[in-house]
Amino acid sequence: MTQSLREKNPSAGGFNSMLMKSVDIALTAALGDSAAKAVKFYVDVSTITKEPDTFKKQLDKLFSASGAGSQLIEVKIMESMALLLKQSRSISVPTGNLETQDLKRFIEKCKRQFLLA
Amino acid sequence: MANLATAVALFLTSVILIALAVMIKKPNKEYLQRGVGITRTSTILLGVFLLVHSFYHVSEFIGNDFFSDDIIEPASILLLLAFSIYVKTHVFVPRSPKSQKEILTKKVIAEDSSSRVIPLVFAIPLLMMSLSFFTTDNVAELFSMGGILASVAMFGWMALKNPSPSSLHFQFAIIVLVWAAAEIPQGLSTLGFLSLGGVDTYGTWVHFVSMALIGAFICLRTLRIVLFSPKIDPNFIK
Repeated sequence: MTQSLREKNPSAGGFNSMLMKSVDIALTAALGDSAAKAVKFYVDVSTITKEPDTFKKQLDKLFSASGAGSQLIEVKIMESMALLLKQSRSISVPTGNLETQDLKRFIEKCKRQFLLA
Repeated sequence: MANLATAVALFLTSVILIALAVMIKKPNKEYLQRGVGITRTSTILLGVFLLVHSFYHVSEFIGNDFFSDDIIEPASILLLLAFSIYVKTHVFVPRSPKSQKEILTKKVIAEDSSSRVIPLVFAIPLLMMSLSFFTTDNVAELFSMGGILASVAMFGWMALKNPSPSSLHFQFAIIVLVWAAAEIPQGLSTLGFLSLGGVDTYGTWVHFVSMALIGAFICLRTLRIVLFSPKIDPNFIK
């Protein structure tokens, strides 16, 4: 379903750039500007657009096995994506209990709504 | 002349990296500090490797072969190895299989080719190096060749496990592969396994290309992040 929508709708690229901006916002909010830039030197941010699971694993590995650090960044990515969608497309995505939500599923949900809007 | 140009390029690149590492601020939350600490350590390792390697080229330019080949080059290779191991241990993750079908395909592929090809590619030079350990006095040359091959193997393995062209490990795999292309014929010639005319000139220029690649890769990656990242309001989200 998402695949066919992407083929029909060229704005999938717009969604990807919004997603990458969400990562920028989340990293800056969590780590500060200089540390966010340093992390981006090692973590391939563009991975999130194609393989959210690999991106999540990158964060997990970098921010220890306890998972608290990577979970905070993931929640911030979801928060900022929801805010960007609301601002740019007036799309409302529920943001309750983000800690329990899966990043990949959240991205897929946002993408569907973005492409349908 | 290639030595001097390489030394200047590497020195300037190392300054950029060391300055970046110094400027990184620790986040307030303790559980975020580990990740930032890892990026700082690996940036310092990469910066110091390039700095030491630039001294090697200065020493080669001056003509002090003992100092360059027997002391500084092995030291820089040791730093490259440390960087490779550090990235593999703390930063690299293999690509996640997208579907169950891909998981099964990956299992089949892993069982036959990729995991066996790399050791085979490096087995012959490593075997020659092991044999020459007993017949040559040039231990420093052996160490440098072995270090570069080990680094190529590590980054090559990472590039196979996660073939994303924009990732650090993929780009570094290309750089160390070009470097190995320069070092292997030169090293084998020094150890007496090859007798090719002009191998020194070839090696120097291919080495220059690999070092220019390192400089260009780090400068472009840094500039892209520092200059072309969108301006972010840290209070955009709470």
